[in-house]
Formats: sequence, structure tokens, C-alpha cells
Amino acid sequence: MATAADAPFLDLRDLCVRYGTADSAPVVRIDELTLSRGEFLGLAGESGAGKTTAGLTVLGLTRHTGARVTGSIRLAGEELVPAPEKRLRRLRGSVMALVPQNPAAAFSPVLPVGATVLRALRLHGCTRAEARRRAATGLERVGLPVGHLSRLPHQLSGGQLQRVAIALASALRTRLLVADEPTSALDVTVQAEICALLAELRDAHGTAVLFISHDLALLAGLCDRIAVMHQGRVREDRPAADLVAAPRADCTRRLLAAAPRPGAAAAPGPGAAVAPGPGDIAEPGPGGGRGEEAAGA
Amino acid sequence: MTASPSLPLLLRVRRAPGALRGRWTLVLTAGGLVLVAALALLAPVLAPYPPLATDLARTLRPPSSAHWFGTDELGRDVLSRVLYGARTGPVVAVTVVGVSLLVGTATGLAAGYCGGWTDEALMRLTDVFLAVPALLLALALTTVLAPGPAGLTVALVVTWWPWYARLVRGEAASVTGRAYIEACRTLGLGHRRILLRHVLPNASTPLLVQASTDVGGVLLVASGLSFLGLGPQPPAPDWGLMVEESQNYFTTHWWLGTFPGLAIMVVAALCFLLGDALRDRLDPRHTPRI
Amino acid sequence: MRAGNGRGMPVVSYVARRTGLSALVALGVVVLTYLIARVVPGDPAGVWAGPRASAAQRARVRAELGLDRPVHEQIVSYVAGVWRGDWGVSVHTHRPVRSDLFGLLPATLQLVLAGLALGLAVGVPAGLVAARWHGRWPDALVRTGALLSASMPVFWLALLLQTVFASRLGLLPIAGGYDRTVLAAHPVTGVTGLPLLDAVLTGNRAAAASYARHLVLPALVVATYPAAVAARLVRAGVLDALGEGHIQMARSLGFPERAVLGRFALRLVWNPVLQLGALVFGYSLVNTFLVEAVFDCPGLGLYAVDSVRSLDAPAVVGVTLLVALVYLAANLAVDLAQAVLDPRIRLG
Repeated sequence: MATAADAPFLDLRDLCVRYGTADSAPVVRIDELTLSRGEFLGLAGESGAGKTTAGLTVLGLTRHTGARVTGSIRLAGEELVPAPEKRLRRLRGSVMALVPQNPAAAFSPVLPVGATVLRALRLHGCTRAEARRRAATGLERVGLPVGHLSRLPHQLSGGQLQRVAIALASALRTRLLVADEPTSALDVTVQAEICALLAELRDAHGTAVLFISHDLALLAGLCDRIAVMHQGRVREDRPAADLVAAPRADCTRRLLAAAPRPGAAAAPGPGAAVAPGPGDIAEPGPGGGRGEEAAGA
Repeated sequence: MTASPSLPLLLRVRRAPGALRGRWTLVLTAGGLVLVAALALLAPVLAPYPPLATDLARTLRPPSSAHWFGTDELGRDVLSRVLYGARTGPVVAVTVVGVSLLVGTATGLAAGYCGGWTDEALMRLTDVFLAVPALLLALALTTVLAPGPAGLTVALVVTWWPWYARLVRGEAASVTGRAYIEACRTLGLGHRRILLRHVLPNASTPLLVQASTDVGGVLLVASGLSFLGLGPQPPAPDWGLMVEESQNYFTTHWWLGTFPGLAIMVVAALCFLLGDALRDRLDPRHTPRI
Repeated sequence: MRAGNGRGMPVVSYVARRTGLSALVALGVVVLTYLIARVVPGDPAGVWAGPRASAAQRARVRAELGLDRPVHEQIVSYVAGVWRGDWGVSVHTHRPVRSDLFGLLPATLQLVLAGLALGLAVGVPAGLVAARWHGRWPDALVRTGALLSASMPVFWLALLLQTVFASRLGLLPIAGGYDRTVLAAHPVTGVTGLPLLDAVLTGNRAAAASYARHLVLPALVVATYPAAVAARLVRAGVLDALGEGHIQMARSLGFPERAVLGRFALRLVWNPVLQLGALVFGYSLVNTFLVEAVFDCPGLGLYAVDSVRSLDAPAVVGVTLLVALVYLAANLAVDLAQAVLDPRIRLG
């Protein structure tokens, strides 16, 4: 697929993220990493490898926790590293969005999820009516009834909340999704559904997805390309099938060995939209899994 | 909620600091309080004049090199009186907190460890005491007790112990059910040993933090009662009383009331700061924020 | 469905249980204060009858006041009396305690509520500012201000403000609750009982202005403590909330920092603020006693102090009971408000 577009949609160069003083050891040090429109890039690594930090830095969120970021992040040609917060804020939620690691904690516990969704849509210029319409469409797309918007987060399951987050990203028509281990807090059945939804979003809007996970088998079935990080650096960055079939870096091998079922044999070629996770469960149809609601009881 | 929050003066905030923080705050505030204690102890040596010595030739003099804080309407040296004042208010506050700690801890341990009916009865009793704001209950109590530092102390102990009882009870109840306490019981350790060696240490950090904050809180309430004339009686050099006596002169002779009031404020602030600093240093559950 | 009060009990029984508990505590307060007041070493009958009364007169007064009966009988009859609306007769004003108290309560309540409102209006934004610029100078400023406000003796602050704004600058009245001449010309008719509110509601501008001018300084003094507490709580609560997932999510959606703090983080802080609200209310209620003493505003505080000085047992018990009732009611209101405001709270 589009691994070698003329100008990559997202382009990281010499990116360094540090905490503390300017000469402390960097947590992330990426010489080069690119992502094209509509591409599904897996970012793998052990915990502590710096993959989440890298993902959040792309969104400009590590600034808020006191990180020092140097180097360059270009999004559609626009430089984001020395960009003013105001500009980043405008991009967040309109061009790029986060699919959270723990959906249960990602919505304000005291507001109905719809309040967050509608506010976010209105923040990015929707009228009240348009926001409501878009939210409804988004929810329908992920297979949730519109009534769920008036529920409080604790009344929805993790999977349902994650779908609300994806519905919101789709309603906002973002072009880049940073999915930060979006399925690690969910059980295996739901995991596959969420992955299917992300893939569908990519196919429908050409959204680029940066999918962060420690689960190489999952990434292999999902991504066009996988970059493996270790100690803050990208050690290997190759098409998913190649990487899984013939890992070169040690850390990749370790990750593969750690996966419940080394995915090499099962991995479909790049471009296959959905592969079931390690559990080999029946593949749900698009927007499927409505039965999951029962899980909330 | 079952419990009103367990702190009287409720400077209970889970995390505090930012700028002033860590060991230095602790050292500086503790140092400040030691200094106050030293001033109180050494008042007879340090005070330039006897606190009760009147001098009708030099009444209401503004601060000068002879009288740093000026003189009052009877010609007494305000600085000397403020120094001697450190021997009543703060001493009352420390005594009140100390005695309340003992009474409250005993009650709280009994309630939390025994549980059941004892617990219920003791906690309802604290509810009753806590339903009357401290200053008012102490005010009512001073009708019974002769006005003076001793009466003030007793009245404040009666109003303060329930806070500690609740705090200790909560901590005790939370560990009593745990495996290691059960293990102690099965090993045949005596109740007293279990309570003192295994249950109480768990409560000591929150107690210490609370106690140091409360010294400031009690000082404020005690000064308020003195101000109302229910504490030490004239001509005693008490900070609250001095502010009360300065009332008629405040507009024209600011130094009479300003200095004793400042003294109360400084000591109370030091106690509050010490409580904050202790919590940040000692309470492993609440690591300070960077 | 996980929604609703699955685990808790229905709201009605929760309210009933909480109210019942509060009533029990109130009963305990009556017994406690009565016991305290009964051990008074002085002779209330002597105070009542006056210094020149004969022994026979005193004995008659003792019998009249029921002071010759055993303590437990006195308590029972006192509680029964309170239940019927008879709070006894004040020894020093010679009027029924209940009418004395309820006549003075509005003025005190007005002062506390004004102080609390002012305190929250200053403290909450201050806490937000401190959290927003955490670790920088606005934070240090707010924290220092909060520390000093909490450590300042209220009576001293009252004197300072009185001296500066009333005596020196002459901007505001020195003492009292209102201007007699203004009120004589523009009498206020009661609607709510709170004088200032009544004056405003009935469109009585002159009286409202008089009340307001007299309220400014006392309310400012009462407000310092709630402001300090609110600032500290909001700051700590917001800083705690900033670590939560939904704050990161809100940022990732492009919400400006002001909305992140003000809308998302602050929502989580209301609960602790409310929880301490009742406690701060109780503390402020008795702070008004000191403030009333300085500004010479008629209110519960002056009455309580006079009662204590004249060993007036019925009045002291009455004030204590009334304040305890108001405080318990505030506690109850806070609990219920919390249950309503925070949908996560499971009742019970």
C-alpha cells in the first residue's frame, strides 16, 4: 500500500522527548518515522519502550506533563514541534485525535458521554443541530444506539465507551488517529470489534492510524507496516508481513516469542482489513456486536 | 457519607506544595516553632521589662528604641507582654492537643478494635460532640469552669478529643480485619500488645500530621475565647486578651493590638505549614506532586 | 443495567435515615449542653431574682424555674418543652429564649451566608488559577494568601479592617447592623427573614443600602476562612484530577486549558468542596460570634456571649441547640446535595 507516497502525511525526524533537564537521557529518540494518508502503522514495543510517549507527543500532549520535545514533527507539511499551543489545540480534535488506552477513564465520570461528544463537536465549529446529527451518525456507524449519548460513563462497558470514542473521532472527521493501546483494557472479543471499527474508519475516510500496542500478533493482522521500538528508539520499521515472518531486531524476536501465538503463519498480507486477534473468534460484521450491550447488565 | 471529614480545622488537603516544599519547609517551620518555644522559655531573660510593670508616665508610647513594640494604656511594654504571651496561648494549645490525643486515641482504638456495639455507641457520642462547633461548645463549657488558662484547656479538650477518636477509629477499623492482626490474635498476643504494637503505628502518621495542624487551630479558637474574656483574666499577658484590651485604642494606637495579633498569626501559620510538610514527608500514600 | 441505585437504597429511605440520625444527635446535644449548663457553679436563681432578693424570693424563683427538681427530670421536661416550642425563659433578658433566638438568627445567618458566598467567589477561582499556573508565581501567591487567611485570628482581622476602612478612611460604618434613622423612615417587611434580602425583594433601596454597607466589613472577615479552604481544596483537587484519563482525552480533543480545568477538572472537585462545606459553615457560624463582638452587630454571637457572662443557662443551652440544629441541617443538606450532584455516589 501507500508506504512511499510523495510527501508523508505524518513525518517525524530526529524527535527527542526528555523529562527533566535539557541534558537528561531522552525517553524517545526517533530518527525517522513516517505515516501516509490512510496508512495503518503499528508501533510496537515492550512496556517502557517509549511508544506511548511518542504517540502522545505527536498529539502535543506530553508538553502538559513537562516534557521537553526537540526535533521535528510534520503533519501534512506543517511543523508541530515549535508550534504555538493555540495552533496545536486547533489541530487536536479536528485533524488528529486520540483513541484512549483506558476508555473507562476517558470520559468525565460526572457528565453524560454525549455532553463530552457534543461539546467537542461544537468546539470545532459545528452548530448545535449539526453536532447532534454528526454524533448520531457516528454512533450509528459504530453500532451503538443514539440513546447511549445520555448515559454516564459508568453505565457503559469499556467496549461501548471505546466505540463512543471512535464514533467521536469519526464525527470529527479527523485524518490521524493515535490509538494508544486501545484494546489492552478490553477483553478479547471486544478487541476484535474495536480493531474492525478502526480499519473501517480508515477505509471510509482514509484516516491514518498510529496503532500503539505491545501485541505483535494483533498488529500483524491489522497494520500495513510495523515499527518496533526499544529503549526509545525505532529498531525495525518494515511491512508487517515481512517483519513478522523474518524479524531482524532482537527486541522484535522477544516480542514475537512473548505473543500467545507467534503470528507469522497466521498473518495475512498487508491490506487485509481485519484479522481476528489471537483468540481466533468469529469475525463480527461491520458495526456488529450489538449483543455486547448485555455485558453492561 | 457517614463521617463529616475528620479534621477540625480542615486544612486537610491531600496534596499541598509546589514552591515551598520538602525537607526545607519541614526544617524551616520546625525551626520557627522551636524558636517560638525558646522565646517562651527565655521570656524572663529576653523581655526588656516585666510584663506587668506599669509606668503611668509613659503610657501609649509608639514603638521606639526603648520600647520596640511601644507601650500600652498602663505604660506596660508591649514587646515584653507579647513575649510572655507565648507562655499562655501556645501552651494551652499544645496541652489541649496532647490531652485530646490521649483521650481520643484510647477511645478510637477501643471503638475500632472492638467494633460492634461499643463502636456504634462511641461514634454516636462523638457525633454529638462534633455537632456543636468547637468555639461554641467551649464557650458553653466556660460557664461551668472558672475563666482562666486551666478552664480554657479543659473546655477545649472536651471539644477536641472526638476528632482524634474518629481518626484513630477509622485507621484501627481498617487494619483490624487484616490478616496480620488476625495472625497476632491466633498467636495469642494480648489485646494491649496488638493495639499498641500493631494497630496504633498505622494511625501515627495521620495523627501526627493532624496534631501539628491542630495546635494552630486550637490556638486560634483559644485566642478567640480569650478575646471574648473567657480565657486568662487581666492583667495576664495573653495574646487574645491583649487584642481585646486594645480595642478602644486600635484606631489611634495601632501597636497595641497589631503585635499580639501578628504573634497568633505567625504561630498558627507555622503549625499549619508544619502539618503540610509532615504529611508530604511521612505519608507514603500521598507522594508530593512535582 | 448498572445504572440507577442498584446497590443503594431508595432515596426516600436514605433521607429518612439521615434525618433520623440527625434528630438523635440533636437530642444528644440537648442532653450534653443541659448537663453542662446544670453544673453551673453560680446561682442562676440569684441572677434572675436580682442582687437584693431575699432567700425566700430566691427559693420561689428556683421552684418557678424548676431548678429544685432532679437533673434528669429537668432534662425531660426541657426536651418536651423544646418539642412544644417552649425553650425556657432567658435569665438575663427575661424573655422567652426561643423568640430571642429566632429574632437574632436571621442577622447571623445573613452574615454567614454572605461570608460563605464571598469566600467561594474568591476562593474557587483562586484555586483554579493556582492549579493552572502550578508551581509558578500565581500558585505561590494563592498558597501564601490561603495560609495567611487561615492563620489570621478573625477578631484581629475585624479590628484591622474596622480601623482602616471605617475609622481612618471613613468609607464604611464602624459598627452596628443597620442605620436606625434610615430604617425608621423605611421599615422593612419580612418575606424571607434575612434583612438584606427582604429589603432588596421589597424594593426598599434605602434600607438595602444601609444593610449592605453595614454588612461589607463583617462579611469580608467571615469570608477569609472559607476562601482559604476553597482555594486549597480546589487547587489540590484540580491537580489530582489532572492525572486522570479523561483530562488527557479532553486535551486530545482540543479543549483549551481553561475548559479542561474549569469544566472537566473542576466538576470533580465540587464533591470535596461540598463535603467540607458543612464544616466550614459551622466554623464560620461561630466565627461570626467574634465578628459580631467587634462590629457590635446584634446577632446570636453577642447574645451567646452575654448569656455566658450572666450564667444564663436556658439561653446558653438555647443558643447551642439552635446552632447545632442549623449545623446539622447544613450537614444534611450537603449530604443530599452530594447525592444529587454526583451521579456516581451510591446512596447508603
